[in-house]
Amino acid sequence: MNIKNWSLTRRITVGFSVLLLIIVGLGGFALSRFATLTTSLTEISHVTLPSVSVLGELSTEVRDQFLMAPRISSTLVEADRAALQAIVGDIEKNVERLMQHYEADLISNAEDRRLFEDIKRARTDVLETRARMQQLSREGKLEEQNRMSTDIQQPNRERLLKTITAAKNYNTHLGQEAAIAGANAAKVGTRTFQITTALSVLIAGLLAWLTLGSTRRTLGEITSDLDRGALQTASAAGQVSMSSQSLSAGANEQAAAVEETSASLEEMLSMIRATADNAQKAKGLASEARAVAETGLRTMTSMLDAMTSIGTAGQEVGKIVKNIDEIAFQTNILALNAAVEAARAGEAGAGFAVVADEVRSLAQRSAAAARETAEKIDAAIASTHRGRQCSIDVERSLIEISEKVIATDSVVGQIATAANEQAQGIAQIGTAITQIDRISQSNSATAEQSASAAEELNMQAESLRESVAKLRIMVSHDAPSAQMTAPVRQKPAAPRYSATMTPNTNYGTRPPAKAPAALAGNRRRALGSIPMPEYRPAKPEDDDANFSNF
Amino acid sequence: MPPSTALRRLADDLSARTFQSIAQLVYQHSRICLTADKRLLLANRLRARLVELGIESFDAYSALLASHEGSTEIDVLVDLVSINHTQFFREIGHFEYLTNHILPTLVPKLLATGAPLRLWSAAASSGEEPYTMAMVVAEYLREHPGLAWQIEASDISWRMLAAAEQAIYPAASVTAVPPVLLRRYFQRGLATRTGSYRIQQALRAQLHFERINLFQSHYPVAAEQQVIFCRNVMIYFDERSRLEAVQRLARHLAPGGYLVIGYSESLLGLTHGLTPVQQGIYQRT
Repeated sequence: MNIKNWSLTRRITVGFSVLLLIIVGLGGFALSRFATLTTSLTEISHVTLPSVSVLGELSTEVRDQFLMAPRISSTLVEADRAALQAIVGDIEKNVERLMQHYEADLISNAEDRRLFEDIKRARTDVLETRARMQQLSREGKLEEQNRMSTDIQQPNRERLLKTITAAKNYNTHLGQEAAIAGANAAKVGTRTFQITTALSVLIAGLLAWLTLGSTRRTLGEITSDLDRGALQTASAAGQVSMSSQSLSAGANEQAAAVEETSASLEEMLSMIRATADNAQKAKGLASEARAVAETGLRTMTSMLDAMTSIGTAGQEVGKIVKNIDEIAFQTNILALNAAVEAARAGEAGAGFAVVADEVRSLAQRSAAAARETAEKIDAAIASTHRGRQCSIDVERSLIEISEKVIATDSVVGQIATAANEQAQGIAQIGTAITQIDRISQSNSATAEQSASAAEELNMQAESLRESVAKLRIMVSHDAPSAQMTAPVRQKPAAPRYSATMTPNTNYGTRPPAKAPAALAGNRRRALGSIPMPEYRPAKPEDDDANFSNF
Repeated sequence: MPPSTALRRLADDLSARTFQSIAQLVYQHSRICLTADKRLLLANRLRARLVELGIESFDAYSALLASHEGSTEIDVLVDLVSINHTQFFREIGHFEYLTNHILPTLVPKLLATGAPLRLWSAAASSGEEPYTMAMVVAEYLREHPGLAWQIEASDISWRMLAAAEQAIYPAASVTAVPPVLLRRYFQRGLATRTGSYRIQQALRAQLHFERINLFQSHYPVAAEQQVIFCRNVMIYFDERSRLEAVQRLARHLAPGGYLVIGYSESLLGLTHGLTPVQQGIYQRT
């Protein structure tokens, strides 16, 4: 039977039962002692004391009677004697009453009865002797009466007084005995009561110690366990809260970065789409350029033909000019001959000589013109040649342009394709970023939720610790443990986020709305220090003590 | 109601209709376009706010926004919805161009005329960009002292501006800052601020903070800015808003001034009258 395994109810029931038994035992014992004491006291008060008293009274009355007797005999006046005899009669009656009372109520035992019988006998003797003496007195035998009084009645009276005294002594003795018995009973009772009380106290203490000690030990262990558990929970919750908060902050930061990336990507996507569009347009333009170049090439070919015809025509014109030159030369010779003939003709040929001279000058001018024309034609032919050469160059250039345009067309086509591919790639990255975004947003929300849950856990742990503290006080009446009084959450030394939401600077327009005051506490409970609208402390200078230059 | 229950309730989907009406409000007040796929984002960003206000559903929040009392809440909404991704020396080419081309061009002229150098970070976020600009300018002016300069830092988010003004950054944020500049322009955190860095007061003093919505009627900044950074902002706008913003920013440029936009952004197809000089950099001629 291991008391440790008993339930609290069983322990208390058993403990109280044992105590109850002890109390009942003690009560019974005390009652029996009281009964003894009461008997003794009753005897003393109801029997012994009245006996002594009655016997005392009896003794007094008898003595008085005896003292009256000689006075009666010596009284000569009849009237006085009658009065005295009346008194003696009263005393007699009183004695009779006392005797009856004693016999009826106050005889306590056989010895007492024997003693009373002695009294009665002695009295009877006295009464009988007195009757005889009265008889003698009536008969006038005064001497005999006197002798009888002295010889018989006197000893009788003394015997009666003695028996009364004996009875009185006996009763006094009885009373003393009863008193001693009572005192003894009380003494024994007191001692026994003391011992049993001490024993009861000892047993009760032992029981209480056993019951309470083990209960208290068990409860104390449980309390400590609970306390420790609550402390650990609170600390764990605090850690979870803190890491959740930093997780939340990180998630928020990440979410912001992802947001920005996502927005940038969208912007890039639109830029690349614009590039693709422009490349497409450039491709169209290149095609047009190619067509234009081809047209130019065709035009160039016909121009080349025209040049060739011009060259041919020039050569033919050269031949004609040569003829003209030869004609002019011969005309010149002819004019020269004509001039010689005119000189030979003398005066008559003078006019002819003038004509011949004119012809000659015309021929010379013709020759000069022909030469000039020939030069021009040569130059034209040379120009034609050069033009042809240029045309060939231009044609080559045009062909090259055409080729380049084709190449450009292809490159621009590739650019357009690449841009489109890039756009697709970026769109895919965008999709991925959107997913990351969703995850980071969800992380952020989850982190906030866990921070909040941790906060709640912390609160519950604290309330558990309060309960434990109450339990501890009930169990051991101890002051709360040192750990209990220490704050569960480690508050940061400096506030990270100020309670007020008003920014420190007047930025010109109205400041953001404050949360309604009634919610502030609730919010603080709800959010702890989740970094949401984090309007920071006012003056940067306030922090000067916390910063130093390098 | 325990907070977790509140959150669970709030985890319920934001209905498409409510999303639309909130997105519409966001667009009206900030021109930030929230496309349908941003529903979860919006739900996430609003959830804690709803708990804070003790509102139990997105529908109720939407109703609050529509009500008379909700007019101030719209600022908070826009603040929560705005994306604030930024880093020190982000898209570093722009800062190199600032050092190697813009400042060598501008500084001698400004020194000659005695005019101050004005730069504007029109989407300052938590301050990394304007402080990077400030570091770059301060570095350049070490060799060319005597020029007054100021950087205007503006953003639509009060929250971000407050953070920017505080100028305290975790260690992870400052890894992109060259060690020399870190030592020259930052302070180390001590005690409760261990692991944090703060911009030194001297550099902070060069910045002026202003809450500016790029679509508000008037920009409370000096008209002739030499350089305006407005990077990775227009990616959140539609083309109409983009055009409006660019034209208004361009009007705030001094002649010869520069507008800098993000690497992944383009002013392609917008009429702005600026000349592109480099990837993402445009000059007013």
